[in-house]
Amino acid sequence: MVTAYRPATLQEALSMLKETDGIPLSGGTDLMVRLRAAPGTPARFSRPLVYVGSLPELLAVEHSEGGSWSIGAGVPLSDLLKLKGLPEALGAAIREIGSPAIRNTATLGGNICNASPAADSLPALLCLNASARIAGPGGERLQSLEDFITGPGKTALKSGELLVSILIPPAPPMKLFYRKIGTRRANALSKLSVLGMVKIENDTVKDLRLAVGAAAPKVVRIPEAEKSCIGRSVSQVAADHHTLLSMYREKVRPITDQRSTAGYRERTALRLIEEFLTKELSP
Amino acid sequence: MKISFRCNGKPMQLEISPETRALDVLRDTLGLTGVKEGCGKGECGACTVLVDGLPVSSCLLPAAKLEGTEVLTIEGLRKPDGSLHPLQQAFLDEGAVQCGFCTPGMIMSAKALLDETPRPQVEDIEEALSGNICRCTGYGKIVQAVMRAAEKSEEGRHDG
Amino acid sequence: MTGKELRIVGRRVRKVDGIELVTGQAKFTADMKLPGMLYGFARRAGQPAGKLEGVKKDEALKIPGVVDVLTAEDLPGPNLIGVLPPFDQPVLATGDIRYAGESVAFVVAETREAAKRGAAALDVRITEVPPILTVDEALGDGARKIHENGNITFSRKLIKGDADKALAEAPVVVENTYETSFQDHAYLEPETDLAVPGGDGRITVYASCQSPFHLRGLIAANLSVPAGRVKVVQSNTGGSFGGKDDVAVEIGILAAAAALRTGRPVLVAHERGESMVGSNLRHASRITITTGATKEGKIVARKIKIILDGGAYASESPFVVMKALIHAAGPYLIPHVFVESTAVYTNKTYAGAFRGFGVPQVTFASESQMDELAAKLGMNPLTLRKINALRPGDATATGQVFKQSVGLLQAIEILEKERLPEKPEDPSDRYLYGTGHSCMLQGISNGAEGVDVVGATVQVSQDGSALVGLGLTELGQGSRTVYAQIAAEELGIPLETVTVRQVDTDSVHDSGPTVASRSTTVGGMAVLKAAREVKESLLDMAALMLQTDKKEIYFQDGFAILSKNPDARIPLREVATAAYWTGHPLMHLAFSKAPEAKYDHDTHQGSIYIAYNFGAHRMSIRIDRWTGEVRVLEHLAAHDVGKVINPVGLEGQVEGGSLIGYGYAHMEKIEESRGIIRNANFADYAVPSIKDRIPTRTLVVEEANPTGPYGAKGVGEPPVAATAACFANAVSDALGVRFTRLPVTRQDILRALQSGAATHGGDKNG
Repeated sequence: MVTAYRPATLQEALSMLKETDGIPLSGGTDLMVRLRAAPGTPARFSRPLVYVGSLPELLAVEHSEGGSWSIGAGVPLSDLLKLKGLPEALGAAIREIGSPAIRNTATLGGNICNASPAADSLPALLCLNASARIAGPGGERLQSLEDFITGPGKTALKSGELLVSILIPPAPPMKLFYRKIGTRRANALSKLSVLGMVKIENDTVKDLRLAVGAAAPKVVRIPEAEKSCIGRSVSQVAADHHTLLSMYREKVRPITDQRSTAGYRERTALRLIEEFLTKELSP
Repeated sequence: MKISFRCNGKPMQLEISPETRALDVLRDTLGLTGVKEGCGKGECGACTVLVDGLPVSSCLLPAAKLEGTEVLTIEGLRKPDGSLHPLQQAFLDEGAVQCGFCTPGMIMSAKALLDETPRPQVEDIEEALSGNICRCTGYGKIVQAVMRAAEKSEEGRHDG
Repeated sequence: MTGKELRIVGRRVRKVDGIELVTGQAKFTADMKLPGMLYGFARRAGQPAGKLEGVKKDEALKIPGVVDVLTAEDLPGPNLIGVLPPFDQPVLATGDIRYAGESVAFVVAETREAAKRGAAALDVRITEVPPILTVDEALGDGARKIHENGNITFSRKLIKGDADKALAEAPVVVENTYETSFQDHAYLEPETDLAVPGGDGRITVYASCQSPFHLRGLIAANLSVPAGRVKVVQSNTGGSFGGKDDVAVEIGILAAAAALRTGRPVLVAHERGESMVGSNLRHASRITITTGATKEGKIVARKIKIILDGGAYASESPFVVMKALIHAAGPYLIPHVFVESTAVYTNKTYAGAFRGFGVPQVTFASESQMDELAAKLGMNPLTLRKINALRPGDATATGQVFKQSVGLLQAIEILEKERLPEKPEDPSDRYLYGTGHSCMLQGISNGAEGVDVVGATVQVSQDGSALVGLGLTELGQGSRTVYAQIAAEELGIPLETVTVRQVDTDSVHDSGPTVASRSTTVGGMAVLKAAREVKESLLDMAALMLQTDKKEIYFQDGFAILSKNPDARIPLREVATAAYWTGHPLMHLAFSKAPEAKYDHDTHQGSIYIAYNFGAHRMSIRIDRWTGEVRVLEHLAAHDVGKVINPVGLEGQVEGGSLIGYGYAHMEKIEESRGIIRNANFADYAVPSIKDRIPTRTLVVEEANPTGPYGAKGVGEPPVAATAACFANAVSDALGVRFTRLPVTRQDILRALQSGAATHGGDKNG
């Protein structure tokens, strides 16, 4: 018999996680599959479950006047889509996660902590410079999401720690470019995704961010490449896109798996980056 | 662990083991076998039920999360007088049912859509049913059926 | 009014068995739960080739809840299954392991979880053998023999005229080789059987299956009991498409054997992954075609070599070999044809029946080559097809001549009348547009593949309602509705008063398998005959009651009516009641037997099928040059169906079959490495979603078929082949490059665009 705990407070949850080496479970959409059905082996949770999805801290959403967001890790994705003013990039990415039925239970915290290279929310959150608010036995800490995700399926969460919320700093209004390539048009896992955001004033690039998902062990974002665009005119960036592409070619290191080939992923990623840099920048 | 919730309008109190899926509680404990299991991984939509009015994949939902909710399955959709829900009628009329295995989940997803968007566009229907796979019909008649049900419900409202 | 015109046949009617399905009341096999029921789960080999050295049961039996473990020696019978000779497949492996999904032991337990744990705990020792994973390896010199008789499962030739000579003399010749991949049925309900020991010396098996009598025979044989001891009841079946035959037998035997050993009901419900790894697929193929034609576009000869990858076991390979053989030359009048068709064993999941049955593979190849020939001749592809299309009185590739019901030309002409969709303005030059055509034929019913008899009963009750029974199964395709329409039409009673019973082997006649688009044609004919016999009986009674000759009476809307004076009518229930009390028989069993196939087994020349469904499709697509994404703008599917019985059902078959064809041609691909299927789930194996659907429009030609009820011909399979073929031609048209391998995925398209292979819209700067 599996043990399960339903803590009422965050403190309680943290001490249970620590004492029992429990697995935090929120929406459960990934865990219910992952922990039950390893190929050929029986379904069993080897460690106790700690239900954290109803903790107030994980369900809180705050939107400051300055434009920053704090999003509880346990808020169902479909609830996020109903929020007014949610960063467009995040909304677009969430709409591509699973099916409506899955989004009604799956959470942003789950999508992050699962740390799949193909996680749809990560390119958006990384472009938004989001960070993770983590609670643990020793108190709270903040960590950029870039550093929080350490590899495929791996995060910087330490034993007994819990992702409480995701913080998104204010961002200027930017034009969004988002392309996800999936196995089919709906309820698909990502073969590849490219998310770009750009702010242009008087034909000059004021801000530019670009992330590529499912193309390397971690989401690819190259600050130097982005910086090199800022301050230049749209046509200059377009004219020089080959230089930029070669920077991305270095970092885009996809694998071949059952969903797609490395070659296709690389070709398509570069193609979409090219599309962003040459076609999407102009108004 | 103990959970209590309402299912198809009736109060339920059950003792469950924590790793139990909502799907198993509905099918095995409550006998609501209209809820189908097609893949067990949230990839086919056959197990879709409404929890507090929202469609969820019951194969991915820990039963413990039913606590305090209102669950609706295909079995709870018929009107009290036994007549069919407009969606059920429209699926029949339009030929949107072939083998019928995907149908309960499909209809529950469609119901959630119509509850929120009584006059949907084709794109709304596509989005709402995007997690429900059907291998028999090619989907065209399913889209027509949801459209038809929406029209009928609208007429019903005006008539009433 | 004379009751002569059709009143129910041809009308748009609702599925007669639909209410239970939309309300969730319909019981599928896994919905049944019986007291003491056990759950079975098979341990699979997990490697594609090897020698099974032994299975130790101890560790599994120690798992709480595990009740029993079966290995090959625990099966009472020969441990052998198969659809037709060579019967070559064990239920549980003994000695040779031939594919990774092979069951080596079967665990039954109090819960599904415990059965799975038990299966995992078994100590299974297999000595690895290098697997044979391609047909070339299998056919190579000195290749290890996967089966005793070698690696060729079945091979046949079709010889009409002298193709070599005609090709040597032909002014224009094209040749190419085409390949297709495996495809999974992906029905929504995974395979499930439930065996219940009877207490009366019998056993009942509830099965999600396509051919209950096939199950009964093989279950009985493997239990070593007479067939009559086994009763198979077909539960509601959540799709089959050819797939729930071999595997339904396999799990039916396992469940039944375990039920007999334990004295308790045993349920086997496959998980999705098992459904993909451990049940048959559509054959992968390699097809080489050479076509010779005159400069005017008259085809003079075709020479075709077909190699089918049949995987580890024969299953339906022999019949698929024949079907591919007979259809490969296409729906054209060709004086000289040579076809060689061969199925080969490999160490992969076995291939068998799947909607289309060899025809999608050869139609893709043949129709691709028609476009290549048209290009070489500088002709419009549809004109080329028209010139060569079979007409009434022409001889098919097997030399069979149909004097009627050959509606291919009409199907092509319907397409010609439809204007092509307009291309929207596209200043960005982002999209490429293309249109593809395909023509095809599909033999109706078993024909040369075997016996073709259906027995049907129609039973009228005293209330004037009717009960229809026959051994063909409803799998979602709507055959029950068709039978009900036919019975209602013939008896002149309302459709709602006809019931078509569930198939159980105790109470209906063995009608052969539910395959080959034969339900409407051969099954419908049997129902029609049985209904007419009952009607004769009722007419006799009505004639007595109305004191007239029975020729003066017709039945309509539930009344026996006097032709001369329609006001003179008696409710049929009164006629039926009177008939009952006076001993007029109210039930008849009638057989419909298709004319026997007569042909030469060396050349396959002769009468093979009772009819062909002819089809012509057109698809227009748009391709995104940047991502390779395809959007289908229009899909026209014209078929000669003889006579439409239920337009709703017909459209459902055409639309559904078309999307399976589209998935086959564009999205679905079994990814296998080292003999293991890597994408055995719906996330990675891309069955089309609602957003991937295509706008299929069904167009109908009705050239009456004398061997079908009211002239009807089946339509279940044909759309698959035609859609796949016209998709490939549309992509090739858009890109200006020929794709010779299905599926043509988005990745393939992008690769062609970027490699410069595409002559339209490729990368100018690399």
